[in-house]
Amino acid sequence: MQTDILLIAETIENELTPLSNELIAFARKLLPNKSGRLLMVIPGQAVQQVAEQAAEIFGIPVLGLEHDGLRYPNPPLLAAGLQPVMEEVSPSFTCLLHSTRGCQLATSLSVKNRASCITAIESISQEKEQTVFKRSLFNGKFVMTLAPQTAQAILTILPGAFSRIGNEEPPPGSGEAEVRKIDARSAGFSPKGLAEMEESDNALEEADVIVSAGRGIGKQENLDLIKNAVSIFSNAAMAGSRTVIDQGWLPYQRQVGETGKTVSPRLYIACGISGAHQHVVGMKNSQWIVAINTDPQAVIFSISDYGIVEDLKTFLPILVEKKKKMFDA
Amino acid sequence: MNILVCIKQVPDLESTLAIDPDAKWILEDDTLKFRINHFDAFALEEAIRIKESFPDVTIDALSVGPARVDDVLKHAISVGVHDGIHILTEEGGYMPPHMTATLIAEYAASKSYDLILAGVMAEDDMLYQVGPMTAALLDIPCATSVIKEQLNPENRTIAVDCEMEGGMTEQVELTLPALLTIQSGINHPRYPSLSNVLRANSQKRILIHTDTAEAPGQREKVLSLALPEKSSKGVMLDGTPEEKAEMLLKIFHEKSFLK
Ligand SMILES: Cc1cc2nc3c(=O)[nH]c(=O)nc-3n(C[C@H](O)[C@H](O)[C@H](O)COP(=O)(O)OP(=O)(O)OC[C@H]3O[C@@H](n4cnc5c(N)ncnc54)[C@H](O)[C@@H]3O)c2cc1C
Repeated sequence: MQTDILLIAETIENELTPLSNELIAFARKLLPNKSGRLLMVIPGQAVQQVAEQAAEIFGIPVLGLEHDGLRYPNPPLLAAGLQPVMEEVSPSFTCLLHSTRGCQLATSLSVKNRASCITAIESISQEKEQTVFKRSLFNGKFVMTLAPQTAQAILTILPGAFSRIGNEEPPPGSGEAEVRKIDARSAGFSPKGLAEMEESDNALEEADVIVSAGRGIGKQENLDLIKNAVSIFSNAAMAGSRTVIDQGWLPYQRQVGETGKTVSPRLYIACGISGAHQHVVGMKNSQWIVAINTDPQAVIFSISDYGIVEDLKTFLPILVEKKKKMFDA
Repeated sequence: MNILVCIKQVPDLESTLAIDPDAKWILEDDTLKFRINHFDAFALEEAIRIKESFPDVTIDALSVGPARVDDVLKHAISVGVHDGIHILTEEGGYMPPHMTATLIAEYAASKSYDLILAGVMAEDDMLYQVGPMTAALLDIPCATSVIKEQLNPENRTIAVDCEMEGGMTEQVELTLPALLTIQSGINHPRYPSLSNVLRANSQKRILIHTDTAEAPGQREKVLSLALPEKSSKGVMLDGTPEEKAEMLLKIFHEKSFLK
């Protein structure tokens, strides 16, 4: 069963995570001529049904790997269970999602198989007959192009970068589902359970305008500048990047990003926020984006409708003053 | 109980960054400022807190890199680390994660650390690889994106909360020796006192020479480093701060965002 591309989906409590679709989109890009063989692995505790559904929807063969310990993400257990599959199908590319667990699994597969490992891939292209991968560095200020130097490569794909499966028809029903029980152990790693972080504050969901503070505010007292800016809008709320929430300056419910909230207000004003991918995924669908940042190179400007290179400490008070003069007189 | 903290020195992301003539990495000239990777500062602080809660804990800090990384080791000593271990490489620039992880794992295997801590990722290359890869090379359990830990020295385990995407956490128990990658926000990293800075300056670091030419071959080849494609969507406002504020307010007014 030689396979060109092995896709490792993620499940939580036997449900495919929504991002697993992106693996398919990625694989179709990786095999533009559609001549290669794909296999999707779906790990979980009981995945017969999910595997059958996925095989039908995606039109590719699916292998379910079952183990009681896979009800929740368990990278070492899955790595052990995947190894025989890797040896059996020897895939040129093994693709995972760029999640914290996906990356952990990717590194152990890379060590076990002496394979190259490229994480957080944003795009694929062909250069001189070889497939090369692009990924961001320095919070998106630069893009690096890398080529695997080993026969096998382990790849993790950045959420959102390959979100659309494209309009082309899925390959017609070649999808068979097989489920295997795996006999593996994860020595020294015992998952105990999952917890959802509490949410009780809907301010960000309800606001038309979000004024968001980043590390650039410098100190907690400067949150007052953000608060004052909030007060000039008709339905606005204050949010922050992770760095501000980590400091304890705003509650977790106000964190925007991959590990916080995804928001899409009519207007998002990023103050002193650099534009790290983990932040941007949480706010890029805002209707209008304004960024205020001292660094003209800041990546946040590339996704903004209006960019202002200024120190927020001087600029926000001017903005609030001018608003009073121009509209409240 | 022996703890190893892995720390990386990264360029200050707010300084002006340029691409080097080879177009393989950024230009590291004399004007470029470096600092500790923020995520590693949280790992370092967590190690110190463990030391403060349990008797007989020693912490070593390790950094791989050229002469300049001595600064982050000095910082680590000034906040309470016992020894600073400098795996000296000839040059800066991009180091493949597999090489870094191999150097750390080789050193760690020669000692008997009970716990290894690292940051969840480096802010420069953003790979998320060195921590878990080191654990895989050492064949020890690993938990990533840790936002809480509770060490239990009697039965040699550590209970951790791992953050996942979208507001979920997973609780995991690991047996020691183990490696954790620490996520930001787990604590508030401290600043050293002046007397401790002076003490750290006078303490020697342990230098380990390596020949990176003999390190394992590159598994990925860097073809180029480039600026991202400019998305032409946005407008940069020009003028004095007052003029920019007026322009912005007019736009806000037109779109009826204002009160
Ligand atoms: C697994 C994982 C999950 C993550 N999840 C999230 C998440 O959900 N949300 C999130 O936000 N981050 C998240 N992060 C962190 C993310 O990688 C960045 O570290 C973070 O977003 C950076 O926050 P920042 O932009 O506030 O700070 P920085 O990146 O430090 O940027 C500060 C900016 O302020 C500017 N500045 C400085 N002074 C001034 C001034 N006086 N006036 C104007 N501008 C100024 C600087 O030029 C700079 O651009 C996550 C990271 C990891 C590893």
